[in-house]
Amino acid sequence: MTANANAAPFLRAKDVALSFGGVKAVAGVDLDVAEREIVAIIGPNGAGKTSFFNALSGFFYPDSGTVTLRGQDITRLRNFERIRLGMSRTFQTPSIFAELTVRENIMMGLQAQANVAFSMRGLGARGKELAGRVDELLDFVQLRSMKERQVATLSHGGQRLVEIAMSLSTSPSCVLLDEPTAGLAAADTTRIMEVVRDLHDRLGLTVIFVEHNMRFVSALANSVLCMNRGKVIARGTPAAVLSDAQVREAYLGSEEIVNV
Amino acid sequence: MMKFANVIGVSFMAVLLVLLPLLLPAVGLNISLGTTVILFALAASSVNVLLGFTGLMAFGNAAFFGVGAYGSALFIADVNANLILGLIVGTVCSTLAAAIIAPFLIRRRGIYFSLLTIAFGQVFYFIAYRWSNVTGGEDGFSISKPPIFGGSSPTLNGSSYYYFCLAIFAVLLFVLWRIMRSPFGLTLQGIAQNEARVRYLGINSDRFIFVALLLSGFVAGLGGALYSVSIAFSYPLLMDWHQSGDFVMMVILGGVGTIWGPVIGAAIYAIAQNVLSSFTPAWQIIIGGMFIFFVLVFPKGLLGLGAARRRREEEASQDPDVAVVPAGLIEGRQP
Repeated sequence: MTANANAAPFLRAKDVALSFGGVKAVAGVDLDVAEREIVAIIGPNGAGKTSFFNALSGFFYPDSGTVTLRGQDITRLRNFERIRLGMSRTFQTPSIFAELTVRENIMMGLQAQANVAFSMRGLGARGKELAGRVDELLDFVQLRSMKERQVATLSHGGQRLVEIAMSLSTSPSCVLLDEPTAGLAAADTTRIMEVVRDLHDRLGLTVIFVEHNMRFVSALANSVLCMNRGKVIARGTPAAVLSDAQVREAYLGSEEIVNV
Repeated sequence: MMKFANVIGVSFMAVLLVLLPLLLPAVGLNISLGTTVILFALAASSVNVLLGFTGLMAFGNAAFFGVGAYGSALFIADVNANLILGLIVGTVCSTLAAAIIAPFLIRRRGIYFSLLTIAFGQVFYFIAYRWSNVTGGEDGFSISKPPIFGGSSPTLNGSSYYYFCLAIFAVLLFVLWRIMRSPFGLTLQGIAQNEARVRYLGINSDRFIFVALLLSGFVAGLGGALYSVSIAFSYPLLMDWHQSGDFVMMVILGGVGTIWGPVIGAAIYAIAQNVLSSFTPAWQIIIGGMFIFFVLVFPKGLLGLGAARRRREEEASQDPDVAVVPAGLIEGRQP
């Protein structure tokens, strides 16, 4: 690694903007993430959080601004190429293969990572190695007993855990989680929270997540970015951001912030 | 690790296909109908590679079938009357045709993919139609059946040609089954279900679709090459988009995404066509009505019906905390 790359932050978004028609979903957002940091992005609905995520992960290309990963400009890199550089993500609605089994869902990324996805034959000895990795990842999210279940038959929380395990199948160094607890019951939320903490504590990953649950945000995040109408209105430690007057105003009447 | 029900089903189909040359004459039908069923099944399987395995609506596979038919027939008529070489040439031609149009197709999805496959299919059709000094134009051209290895080697006729086709068909069906269970096949299923997620697993789905198109062109072309020899004739309507539509219909009748579905669909279609057309010139109305009936009553095809029932039984035997949430399917094209 060059000195220059060491100096650059792990992930940097500079002046990222993204519009849909006349709507400026993201209007010039900066973000620096250090390696192994946990960053939360908060903001009211429609603030542009997911659009910003999409620009970071290459779901859409930003209209302007740059995204760099370890000093490398990835702004115009195709989504699957970013994954190969160590980025991975989940979606607000779990993006899974509903009709495949849990094992197959995890296997697909492992095959790609092991460069055997093009094989039209069985995997032989390599298959055992990958099967072992499937077990490891399922142990990580505590879903091993569900291995042969069709994913469509899992609960919503189970599907979210499968998606997290899938996003780990590509051996990422950084994961982007889009509202990991959306639509979950309290018990599932706690479980997801533990898993996200483990992503950082046990696997040493950099984690960036969009979240509405402020208990989750203040328990996990090292730093918080609050967006409103496509712009950053506050950033800093969870405590500072959550007590910021502008943030409180943006969330006015919203239950989440009242509960903090 | 095949399930018992599958073993019975496969054995039944195998016995039925092997005995077909004896059964067909018994009910007053010609053995060539059996050959047609098998070769249409190959063409339908080639559609299934795209439609069933990869989730791509391919409406131009008759072009691959026809290129295979013309490739082998022209080679046999003009270069060397050798069945094996003719089949190789026809199949290479169709695979090349797929390789030529694939770059235009791989970046399109949904209706745009379908329209492009129709358009490219019609291009091949018009080439065969217009280039009459080579292709015989609208009338096509006939060939005499070639010896299997050329020269004075034997010529396959009737039931021997049927068994020749059946052997090739059995090998290809097994290969397709293996591919479906391979890492490549798993990735194709992923593309069919949720392409955005496939890409977010670091996989360039375009390259898999490219290979699926080659595979489809190969299978369809081999079917076409065998078909023109079977009927000793090659003509432009083999490539027409009606023919492509018929192949799609066979897949849907039998069961999209299953190995045996296209075979059953092809059998229903070819036999219905053969039997009905001897009663009435309006046989297509009956087939059309049958198609509507099947789509309404068995939307997943005849075999899909069994698969759906098995799945429900499996689910019922599992925990009650069943909540079905569809994957976040994202239409259209991402970067």
